[in-house]
Amino acid sequence: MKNREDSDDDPLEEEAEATMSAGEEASADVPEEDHAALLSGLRRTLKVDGRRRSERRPPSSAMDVHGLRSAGGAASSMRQILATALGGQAAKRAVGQELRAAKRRHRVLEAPAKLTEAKSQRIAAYERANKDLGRWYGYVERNRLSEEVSFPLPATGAPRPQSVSDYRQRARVDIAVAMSADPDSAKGESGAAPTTSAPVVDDLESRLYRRLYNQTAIAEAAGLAAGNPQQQQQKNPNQLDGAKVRERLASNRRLIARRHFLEEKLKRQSRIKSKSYRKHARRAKLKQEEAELTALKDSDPAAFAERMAALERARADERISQRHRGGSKFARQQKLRAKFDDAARQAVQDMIQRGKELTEKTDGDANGDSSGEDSDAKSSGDEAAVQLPEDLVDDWNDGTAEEDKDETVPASLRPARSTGLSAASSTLASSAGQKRQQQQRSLELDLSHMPSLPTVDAAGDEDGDALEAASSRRSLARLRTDELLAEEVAETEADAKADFEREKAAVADEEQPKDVDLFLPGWNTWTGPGTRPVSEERRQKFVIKAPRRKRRDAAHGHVIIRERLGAGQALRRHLVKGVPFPYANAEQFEGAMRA
Amino acid sequence: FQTTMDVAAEDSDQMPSGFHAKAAAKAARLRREAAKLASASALESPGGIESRPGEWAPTQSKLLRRVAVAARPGHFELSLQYGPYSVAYDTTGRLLALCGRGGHVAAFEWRQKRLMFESQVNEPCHALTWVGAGSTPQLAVAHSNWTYIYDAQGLELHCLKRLHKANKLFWLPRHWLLAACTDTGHLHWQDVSTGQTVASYCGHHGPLRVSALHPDSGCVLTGQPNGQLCIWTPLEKRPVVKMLCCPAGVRAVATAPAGHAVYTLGGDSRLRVWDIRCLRPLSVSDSGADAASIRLFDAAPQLAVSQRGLLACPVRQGAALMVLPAGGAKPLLSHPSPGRLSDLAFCPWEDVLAFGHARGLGSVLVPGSGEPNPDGAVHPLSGKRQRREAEVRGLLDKLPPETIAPPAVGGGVNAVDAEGIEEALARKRAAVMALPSDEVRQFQPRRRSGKASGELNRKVGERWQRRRMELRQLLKSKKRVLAEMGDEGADAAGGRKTKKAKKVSQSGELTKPATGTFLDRLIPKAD
Repeated sequence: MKNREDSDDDPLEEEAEATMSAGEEASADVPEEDHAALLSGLRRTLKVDGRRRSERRPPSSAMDVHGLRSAGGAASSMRQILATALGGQAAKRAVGQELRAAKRRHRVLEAPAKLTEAKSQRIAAYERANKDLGRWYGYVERNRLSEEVSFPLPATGAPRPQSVSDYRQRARVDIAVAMSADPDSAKGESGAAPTTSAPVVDDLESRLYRRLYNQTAIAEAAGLAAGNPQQQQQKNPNQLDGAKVRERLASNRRLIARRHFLEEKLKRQSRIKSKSYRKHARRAKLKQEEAELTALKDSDPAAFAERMAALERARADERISQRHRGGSKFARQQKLRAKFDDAARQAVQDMIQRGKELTEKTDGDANGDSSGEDSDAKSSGDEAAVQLPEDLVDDWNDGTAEEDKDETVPASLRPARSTGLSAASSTLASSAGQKRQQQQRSLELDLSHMPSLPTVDAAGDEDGDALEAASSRRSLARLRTDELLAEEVAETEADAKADFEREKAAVADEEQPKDVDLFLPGWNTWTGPGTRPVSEERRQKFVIKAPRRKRRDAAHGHVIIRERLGAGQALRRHLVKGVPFPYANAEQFEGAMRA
Repeated sequence: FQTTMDVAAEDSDQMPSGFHAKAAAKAARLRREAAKLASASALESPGGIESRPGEWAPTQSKLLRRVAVAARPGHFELSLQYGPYSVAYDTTGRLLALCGRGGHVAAFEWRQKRLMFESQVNEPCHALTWVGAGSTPQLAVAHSNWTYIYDAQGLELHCLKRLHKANKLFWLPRHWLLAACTDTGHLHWQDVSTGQTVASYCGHHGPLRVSALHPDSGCVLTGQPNGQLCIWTPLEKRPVVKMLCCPAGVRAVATAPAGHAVYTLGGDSRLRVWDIRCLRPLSVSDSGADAASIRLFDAAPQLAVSQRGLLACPVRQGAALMVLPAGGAKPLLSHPSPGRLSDLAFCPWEDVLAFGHARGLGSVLVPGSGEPNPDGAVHPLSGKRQRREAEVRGLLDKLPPETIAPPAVGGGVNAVDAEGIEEALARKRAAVMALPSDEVRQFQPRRRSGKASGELNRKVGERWQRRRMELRQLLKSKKRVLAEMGDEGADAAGGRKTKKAKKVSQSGELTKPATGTFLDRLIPKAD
């Protein structure tokens, strides 16, 4: 609801009021001349001076006969006076009517428009500012609560007015909006020409402004200004007519119902335990996938390539897992893929073949149990002559370890946790980078190709004979493994040495006491720019040099010894404070204690 | 290093008096008696195997035919189903405990084959060690999660949740500490006598699977996959010493029960021996001049060192074990194992080696492995009362954890506090040599004249008083320092104690070192 003062300054309304009051006056019975005569007579009789009526008086309980318009109580008392003065009933009635009419006609005038204009502008501007700022509350609140804010903030909100004239123009538009929004005034001005002092501009900037602030009201005002009835008709674009609304609601309902039915169906299907149903469903799904893929190949090559890439990725993952199984979901998918890719078909076949090879039982494993029993019997029996492998025995008897006959078994074939083995195997991966890890992986894969590497499992029933038989079989494979392992080990060693040197340098740096620089920041710069910097010689006087300590591990390249400051102090409490009596010096005493 | 008594005994003719001659004669008699006694209980000589070139190592059956009857119980075989097994002898070498990954925990007196207890804990057990000295043996067993302590009857006494997922447990008898290296990569030291956790540190290098205890110093050694051997003490949260010993990764580490040798097995299957005092490699081959390492073929990562320095290690991937002589590369003997080897332990004071494997437990005779002459209070022959006594003594003589220090760093509990002595001497020197200031020394009181005004006299008097006070302070501080030194290093410094000096409190203050530069003003005031 708009303030009355806003509407009062409107010239249109003033005019309308004037016409209305004129109409009212026309309908009244009392002629103007008679009325004026009556009033002048009254003034004369009662000695009331019109010029003095606005004089301010102290409040008094006594009747004020002079202040005609001062208060309601005064007016009623005046009516009594008049009634007593007039006497007779008929005359009284006429006068009463006259009085009431006069009261209606003569209202207290409001302050002139030129005084209220500034105020109304201020109020409009205030409201507008309130509205504008209200838009920002969310952002401000969010920025206040956010952990961190990065500047500049993302540009949001309205374009800022660039000049004073912009502000003025916006203020005028606001006023126009305020006027048009006021129902009282809008009612009265229906046919009248608008008298907005601000011309509504229609350049790009103002359009943008309107669009941003979504002020249809401005557009309305503009429409009013142009006198365009079409724009008035499009007052509420969101408003639909009843039929359309009903149609939309119905379609929504249909959608919801359809989704519900689908959900119910899926639920029902998921509860089905029949194997044959599942089989059919699986096949149907696969067929569907196949059909989709075929369709995609023609319709959307990009999506098709993506699907194929995903399948290829799945194959790579499976290869890493080294399961090499044929009947899995994965395999089915790969068959699907193989339809479009001959190489893929070959890869899947190879994989299945390898799986078969690997799971095939070898001779050594076949008689594993019996040999285990044999070894039991041997160990308990008397003739438990230990047959070390021949090459090993030779080596020991010669007393020299020959590098050529070395036989090494890769550490990556051992179980975890129980022993330190896995520590060694993790060595290969730990200090090296990505490249080396890949190499190791390739090494593992190569090993997996070899059918019968000797692996002593947790049950540990490998016999010497079986080992020897295996050794003859795998000699070729071992050569290759040895080469690979030697390379690997050499690389690991180089890395480990480099790491160690780096660590040692870091520890030395950390434990070396640091110089203390007492030259405070800011010294010699207080007099401002242009001063000569302090000489380095003088500056160095303020540096207290830390003593250079010789490290214990300086002589050993392969050792890091940490200085134990705290522990050393703690230990000193328990040490002998002086050299005990019979000993001449500390070395003698310590030697005696050590012996 | 000779005592005066020795000197006296040698040349009794030149004795200053009859008393000295008598004393010398008595000393000589006592020495003769002691020698007689020693010859009566002659030191046992350690056994051993002499192998000639071209001859195969002796089998157990051969050895059993040759050894004394009393030694034969050392060879036995237990076939068990909850393997692989870990084994542990107690400090006396009397008891043998075993635990299997299948949850089987048992302890028995291996000589009599008398079972103390046996239980199934329904949890994988990874390591065990005997805890406590002698009379009340307790067994610490690392279950899959926590470490439990059982008594001789198999009753669960404690559950140490701090020692979580331990891979290896160590008992430090002189410090009464239980140390653990865990699969979570932590090291823990727990005081068994008080129950307090002395220290817990993270190794930051993954699971600690390769570890050993250096019994002489009490340090824990861990081998890392990056080839470094770390030496830990409970007082430092980082390893005190790191040594790059096997660049291809450390697979196993073992220390000699007595001595300074540390054996490491690298990822390149090379066995190296190190001196823990100087952290340098020792030569291992007896034929080659400077073989820094030998290669163990198909070696599995368990090592055990006997009291006399024999080294046992699995070969053929744990299908057999062999024993190497101290510092040599030619195997003394070897023995097949029914299952894959999982643990090795030499019996202290006996020529016996026990090995746990996947199918049970075995024990073989290894002549020359144990120390034949027990020198401690606790050994297989010590009686119940002796063991009890040893336990009390052990508690009384318990060493604080600060005394754990690697020999390479120096120190250790047997050292003399050389730095402390030096400091004390320096302080004393500073105090004794300190002189009053020139102003004080050269001060001559003005001769009083009767005409001098009272004001001047008063001022002169005050100044005089001040200087007297300064001198008195100096003297006092000297006395205090001397008194302090009297307790600590009087002998070393050649000072003498006074009765008065003893009354002065111990808290002496150090005098400021006089650097004599303008930076002195920056040194904070001592008050």
